[in-house]
Amino acid sequence: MSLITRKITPDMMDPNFESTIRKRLGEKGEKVPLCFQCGVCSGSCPVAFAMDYTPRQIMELIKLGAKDLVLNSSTIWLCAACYSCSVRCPQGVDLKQVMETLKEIALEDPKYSRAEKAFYEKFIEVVRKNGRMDEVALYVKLMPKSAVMRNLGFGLKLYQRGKIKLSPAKSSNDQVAKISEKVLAKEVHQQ
Amino acid sequence: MSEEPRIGVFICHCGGNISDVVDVEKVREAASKMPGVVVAETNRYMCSKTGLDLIKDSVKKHRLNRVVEASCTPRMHLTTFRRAVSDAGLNPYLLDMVNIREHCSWVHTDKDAATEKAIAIVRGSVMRARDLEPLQPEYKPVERSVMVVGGGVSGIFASLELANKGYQVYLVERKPSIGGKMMQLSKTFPTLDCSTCIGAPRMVEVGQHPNIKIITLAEPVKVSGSPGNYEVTLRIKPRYVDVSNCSSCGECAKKCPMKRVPNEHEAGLAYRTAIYLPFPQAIPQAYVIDPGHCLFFQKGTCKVCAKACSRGAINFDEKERLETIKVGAIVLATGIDVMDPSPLKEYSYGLHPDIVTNLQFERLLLGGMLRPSDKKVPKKVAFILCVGSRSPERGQPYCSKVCCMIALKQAFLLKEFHAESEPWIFYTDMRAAGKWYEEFYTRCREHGIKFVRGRVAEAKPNDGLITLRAEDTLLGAQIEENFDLVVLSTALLPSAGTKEVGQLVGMDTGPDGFLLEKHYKLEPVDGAWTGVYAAGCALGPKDVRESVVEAMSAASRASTFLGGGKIEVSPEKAFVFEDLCDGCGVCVQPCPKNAIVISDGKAVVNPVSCIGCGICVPVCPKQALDLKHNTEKQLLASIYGVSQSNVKPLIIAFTEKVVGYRAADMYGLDRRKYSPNIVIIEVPTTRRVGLRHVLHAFAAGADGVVFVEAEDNWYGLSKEEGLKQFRGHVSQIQRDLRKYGIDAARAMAVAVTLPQYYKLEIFDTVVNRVKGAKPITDEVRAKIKGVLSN
Repeated sequence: MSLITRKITPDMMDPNFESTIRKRLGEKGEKVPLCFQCGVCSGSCPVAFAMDYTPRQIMELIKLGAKDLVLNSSTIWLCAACYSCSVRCPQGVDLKQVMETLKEIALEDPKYSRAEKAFYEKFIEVVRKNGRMDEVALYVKLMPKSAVMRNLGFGLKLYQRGKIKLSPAKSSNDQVAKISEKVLAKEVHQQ
Repeated sequence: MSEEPRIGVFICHCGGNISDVVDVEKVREAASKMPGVVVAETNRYMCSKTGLDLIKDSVKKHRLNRVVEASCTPRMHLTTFRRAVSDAGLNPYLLDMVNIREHCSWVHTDKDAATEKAIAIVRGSVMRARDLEPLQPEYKPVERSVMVVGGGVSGIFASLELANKGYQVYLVERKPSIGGKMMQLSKTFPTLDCSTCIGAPRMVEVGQHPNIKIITLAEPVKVSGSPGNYEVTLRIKPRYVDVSNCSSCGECAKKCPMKRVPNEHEAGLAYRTAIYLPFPQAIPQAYVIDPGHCLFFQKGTCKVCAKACSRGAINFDEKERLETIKVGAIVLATGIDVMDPSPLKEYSYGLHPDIVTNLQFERLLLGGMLRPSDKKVPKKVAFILCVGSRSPERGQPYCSKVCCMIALKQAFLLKEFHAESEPWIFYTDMRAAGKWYEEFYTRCREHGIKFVRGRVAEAKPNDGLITLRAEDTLLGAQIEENFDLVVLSTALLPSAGTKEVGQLVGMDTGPDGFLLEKHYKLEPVDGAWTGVYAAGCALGPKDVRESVVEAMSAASRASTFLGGGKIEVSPEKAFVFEDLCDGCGVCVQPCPKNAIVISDGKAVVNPVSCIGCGICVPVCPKQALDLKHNTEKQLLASIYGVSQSNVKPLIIAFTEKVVGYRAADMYGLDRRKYSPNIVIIEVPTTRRVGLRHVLHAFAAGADGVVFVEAEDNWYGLSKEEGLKQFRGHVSQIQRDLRKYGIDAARAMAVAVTLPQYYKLEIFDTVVNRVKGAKPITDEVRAKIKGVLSN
């Protein structure tokens, strides 16, 4: 988890950051600058306790253009997309959609490399391939080899009790793969 | 006109407001070459003493007999300039104003085009000025009485102020007693005076004042007449109790079987009977039957109260009635309502008895500070601010202004009442701007009130307590805390019916639902109609002090208006050329004021009833009718003058003078932009402009016309009927134009209200349409000219 920064200097501010987010959000983006920091979003957030910056603080950082702080924060990855913030925001800022957009930007730029980001990427890779979640595959992909080796014994125990299977869980058809192809094609098209 | 016109044109820079966009020197040069112009001058501020002296001196020096003033809107300075020409010895009606600010420099960006347009409209004015005639205003006596609508603190003070100045006041109140919201409050910030103790004596004064007549349970339903002489129809609901006979002994209420009616005065926290005294200090001090809950009115039997009344003051046969009063002026003081917070589900209002509104908390403070659920003194009390305020998406966009101070006061009183208590105030921004307000905020901090900067996300009932969740935004941490009582500072709304009562007297409501003042800063208590004023929360949320200030202002404005005893009546009236009139009578029916009668085979206009709308003028097949100060000659001169514009295509916007013209002013005030191809000509109503005028416009070189009309300012007609007639008028012109080979799209109509002035966006649509259409050929124009010359 990154630490909360107590000093923001000019080199940390990207003057175009807010407008990039606004553009990506389309019509919804017009509401972003309306945030007046009341904190209803953070008060409503079920995950805020675990975040480094609260959702409200993310809005403030966006305003300042503190791009790296925002995209390196845990907040955007921990957002559970429950929509409480979006529903309650008195100014109509769709916080959930803002978080989504921030995730997109972070995913596109290899500069931002949080564990949560890797988790997102590997998770979808596994699901795309198998049509469903496979814990073993995800674990192997996500963790360094040394960690995998170190935990072999534990894995064996889980296997003996039937908690994990060695053959990957696969769905009977390739519908999920097709859906993900479609979505990917759309995303490429939009960009 | 026998004498040769000697016109002076005076062009204002307006300190750059005009000259930054319009090349004033170029306009001056062009104006000096216009026919009849003897002198053209510019000045940095024509409305300044030097500017006015320049006009006066030029009139004398150049023996001017006409003055054209090119500056801001005549709504701003017409009186100023009329006075100047008057001082110089000219009749004030020999002045014509051209609006090159709101209708030119503020709405255009292309400097060359704006300058060309300015020259064109100055030419229109110069041509019109040649035909101006001297006129004398007339005077009419005014009614020395005022109707005040709403008996809250604003209405009370406006009434007292006017009554003490000697005017007869009718104080019209919808509820059974005057007093309003202030009478429900405990103490008032920041001085902590007892609300009832300072308010009730004024109520008594109102009740006893020989010049004030209180009419309760009444609402105005119709207003007719003219400034200084309004006629108001009131709908008065029955009280079923004779006010003069009731001694308010209360025997009736003791016998009333309906004991569980929510008590409005206690904000629903207590009960009353169906026959009740609204509250102990009520004025008039008399009981009233609430037919919605009375057993007799619901089931047809009971009347126990009538038997209990030893004075026979109860009368179940009373009926709703209409009453008409004549007043010279009207003051609206219709006040506010408190928003119902239940749609904001996260605050659980209604799910737990100890979640109350701030108005209910006022009643709790007065009732011994016992919380509703178990009648115990609460220890931890949370005040949640901005419930429904400052929430464009979830309530009202505006700040309700008084809630911060109310919460401070309530927390302070709680702490005073019960030193062990622990008030927490959850705020978004603490707004304590006002005399002694910040000091009070400081006192509250000294008294150990806790302040958390963060809007509460949710309030949930939790085992007898209420759990609040919020972010302490100054810390960036979530906090959860349990409270014994939660107070919601709900948004203040315009009271129900504000829009309707405003419409009766020509006062629009803004997007927030509150009444719109004539000028936000400089005429803050005036309505659009002369003799109509507003005060207090009807104009927006405010506290007692400000309401009283506004009430006194409105009273002062009303007495300034009525004090002269007479009102100047514009001489801009219709008149008949008797030699041309054949008494056919087609003009009689269209007149909205029934001001035309046929007498001895000739039409006769009653100048008292005539409002100068000019609707009759184009109707006359013989052109025997005309309108003073907007004569056929003058109107056509304007049309031909502006049509020589170099900005092509040219679209003339015939704009109704009250709402339409002001809407265009507001468009400029807002610095919105439209194409300089649009040129505005002010007309009393768009129906003053008939087919003949439109044909003249096309013959003169115009490529399109727009009719800008008021959506509801129909001289007594209903909005629907007025709009129907307006649309009918324009579509008839469109149909007729087609016969001359001119496409209907070249004549457009738009109806606006002041708050919807942005509807004039249509100007650009019209310009684009005309630009996209095939140009009008010279043959078509020649044919029209031919028809017109016959």
